[in-house]
Amino acid sequence: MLYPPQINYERPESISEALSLLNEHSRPFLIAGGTIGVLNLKRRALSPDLVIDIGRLKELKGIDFRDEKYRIGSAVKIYEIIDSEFNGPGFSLLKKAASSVGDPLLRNMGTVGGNVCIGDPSNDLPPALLALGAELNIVGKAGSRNLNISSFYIGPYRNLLAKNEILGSINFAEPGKGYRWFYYKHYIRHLDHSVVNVAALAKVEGKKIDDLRIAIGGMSVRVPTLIETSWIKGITAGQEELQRVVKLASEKCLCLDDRHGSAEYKKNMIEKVTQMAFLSVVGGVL
Amino acid sequence: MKIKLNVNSEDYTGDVEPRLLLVDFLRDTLGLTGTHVGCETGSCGSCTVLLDGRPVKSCLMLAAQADGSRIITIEGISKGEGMNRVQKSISESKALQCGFCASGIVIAATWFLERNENPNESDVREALSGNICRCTGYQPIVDAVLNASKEVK
Ligand SMILES: Cc1cc2nc3c(=O)[nH]c(=O)nc-3n(C[C@H](O)[C@H](O)[C@H](O)COP(=O)(O)OP(=O)(O)OC[C@H]3O[C@@H](n4cnc5c(N)ncnc54)[C@H](O)[C@@H]3O)c2cc1C
Ligand code: FES
Ligand code: FES
Repeated sequence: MLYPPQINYERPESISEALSLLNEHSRPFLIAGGTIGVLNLKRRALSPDLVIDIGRLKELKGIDFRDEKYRIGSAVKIYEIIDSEFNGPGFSLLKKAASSVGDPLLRNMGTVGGNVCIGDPSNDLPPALLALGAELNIVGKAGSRNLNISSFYIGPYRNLLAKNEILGSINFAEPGKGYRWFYYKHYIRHLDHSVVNVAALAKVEGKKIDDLRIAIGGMSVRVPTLIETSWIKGITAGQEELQRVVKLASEKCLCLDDRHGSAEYKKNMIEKVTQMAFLSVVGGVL
Repeated sequence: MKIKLNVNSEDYTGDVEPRLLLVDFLRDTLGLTGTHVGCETGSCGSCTVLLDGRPVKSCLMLAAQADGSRIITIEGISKGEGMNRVQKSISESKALQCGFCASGIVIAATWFLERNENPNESDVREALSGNICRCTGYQPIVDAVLNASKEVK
């Protein structure tokens, strides 16, 4: 039977109280929705001296849109993204990624912040947030700092949050009119870690690409990764450009043979989904 | 630690160990054994209950996290009307075999039908995608939920 070890549990009333608790303990552990946190406690992967439940902190709630920018509190539940009324291309991309998370019950439990912080390469929101150029607002005792999500992950299940910091909110600009978006997740069985997921946004003016952003995640890469595509700006995309983007994506493959597939299969799938994403957002230009 | 919960419209105040899981609080402390434990890892959905009106997997939550919430388990889902339309439809069409998955599926499907008037088959399959059934192959369950959706509330 899976059972958590004996724990101490606190549910602070404010971020500043949560930060004090983090600083006062040597092995504190944050949970928001707890879908992975409680599971890891049950698996005895952790033995914290305090479990700090930040899932209900008002300061970490709410989705706001101001000056063409979204602010999503880290404790917003995945379902709240899906149910939200925002429907610009950028937010629609995030909605699609959110509806790909687990199942409806898990989406009622899990939070956006938990999804971003775990650093599981196969999580659904990070590729979408990478394509959106999201800034993470991170709070600590000394104040807050902003970090682009593209430099947040330093390895599988590892990120740049310090032990005594909390992810406060996720912020990104709505790319707005004229952008097309695409999200796709490839998995073997439902609720398995995905083999590869891809998120893309593009704006094409006339026949020229004005902006293209593609990010990939999944068990075929080390960390969720943005593909370098700034060179494509102003170019009329053809087969050559498509092949170059596909090659740049496949270079990100952490191609290991494991239960998620053979190295060759993973590389092929990265190429395939990148091609799908490119064709979908760049559209009829080719 | 002290927690206060409302379960199937009854208030409960008690002292629990912080590590107590919500599902074990319901089953062992309150004796509501209709909520089942299958995988223990958030995959199978047999532990599904409504938490503040939304279905969740109670094996992935501490009872402490649910402090102050309203919970509905399978024992309370039909609001005193015997069986609700999903339960009736499943039972009339004999859609289940062993029945282990039943309480989770009834909770998820009841909640889904309350918010979706005219679902199609793929909506129902998506709504039940967090609930595993090892016996039936799902088709009879999906059909029963679709039939229930056609009944007037
Ligand atoms: C069966 C199953 C299937 C799943 N399928 C998917 C899937 O398909 N796609 C997907 O993306 N995810 C999936 N997940 C993972 C998970 O449920 C989601 O990613 C969820 O959004 C995590 O959020 P949470 O609030 O539950 O995280 P928690 O468990 O509360 O936290 C996760 C981690 O993040 C840290 N953390 C949380 N919030 C903060 C914060 N504000 N600041 C700092 N650190 C923080 C915690 O300390 C912990 O280490 C699945 C999980 C299970 C159990
Ligand atoms: S026992 Fe909770 S999901 Fe399987
Ligand atoms: S009827 Fe046996 S698990 Fe569903």
